[in-house]
Amino acid sequence: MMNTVLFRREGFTLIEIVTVVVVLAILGVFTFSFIDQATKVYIMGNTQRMLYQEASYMLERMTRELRDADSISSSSPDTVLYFHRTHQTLMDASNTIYFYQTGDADRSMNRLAFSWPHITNQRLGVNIAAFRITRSYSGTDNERINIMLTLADGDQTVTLSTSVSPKNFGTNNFTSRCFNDDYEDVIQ
Amino acid sequence: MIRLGNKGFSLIELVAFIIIGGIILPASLIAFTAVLESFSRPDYQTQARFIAEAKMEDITSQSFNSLPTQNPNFRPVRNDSTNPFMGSGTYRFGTSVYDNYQWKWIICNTGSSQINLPCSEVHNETLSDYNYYRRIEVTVRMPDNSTYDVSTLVSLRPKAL
Repeated sequence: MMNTVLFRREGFTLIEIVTVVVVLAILGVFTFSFIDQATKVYIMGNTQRMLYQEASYMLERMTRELRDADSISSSSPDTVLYFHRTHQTLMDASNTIYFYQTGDADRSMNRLAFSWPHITNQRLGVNIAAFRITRSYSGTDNERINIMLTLADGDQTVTLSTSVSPKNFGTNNFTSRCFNDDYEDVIQ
Repeated sequence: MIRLGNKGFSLIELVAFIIIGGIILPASLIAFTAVLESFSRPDYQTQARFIAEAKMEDITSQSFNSLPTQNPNFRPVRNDSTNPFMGSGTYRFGTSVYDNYQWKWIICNTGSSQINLPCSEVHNETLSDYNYYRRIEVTVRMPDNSTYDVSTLVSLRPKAL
């Protein structure tokens, strides 16, 4: 006895179902493109933030060392920063420092490295796209060294540049210069 | 077919719903996009910091008694006349990265009793040791019109006295 009782129920017509599916599809396309865009921006923002952090760390490190320089070798090529600093630290006994860009055979990434005589090729950072040194007023008290650093990761590129006027550089009119406690002068 | 007496939405209600939805949706989209925009620009503060640092280096590298003239009004950083020619046809901060950044710098004389005050609050005339200290204030205005301030206090080198 498999008599089935059929209730006369009002269901959806095919047209209604098709309409709903089409409308949902259109809404879905908008929603997903929205989420997709948001995700892309999020990833882009994260990459940039990371690059900026790396770049500012490297630039900070270089400018701190450079501010203490008392002689700077001519920067040729302009991708090597080579100078003698005035003060030692406990960790770094040597006062001659190089900062330079170097390719790494094993990796596609470009590195920024620093060396002093007994330690070479210390890695300062990666993702380097460009590293340029330019000097103005070469050899005078207000010698100015401009550093430009470009980092790239994927399609994201960030460029930072700043300039440094070493505090212990030069001898002419040395005593009349500003003093803001950065480094104590050692030249009388 | 049994009708239970629910007559559905009227046209007016439907139109009202569509209009309200039409206002709320774009508004939320705009707000969302603005947040995304600000998240995707982490560079302003970092750029401004190094711009300000570079200007501060320029000023403090000069002689205490002949500091550069101050520039109390904002002007564009890019291709500013104080960014010297560096050879190879470029200025410092000469690329389009530095568009829409502006800077100003203020230099004032101050004394030991007022060394913690900003230049705007220093009263020169009451100082006896006036001229022994100078305060330098560098302000960088970022493309979103917020500002980044750096200030320092300089004196003559101790060994010069």
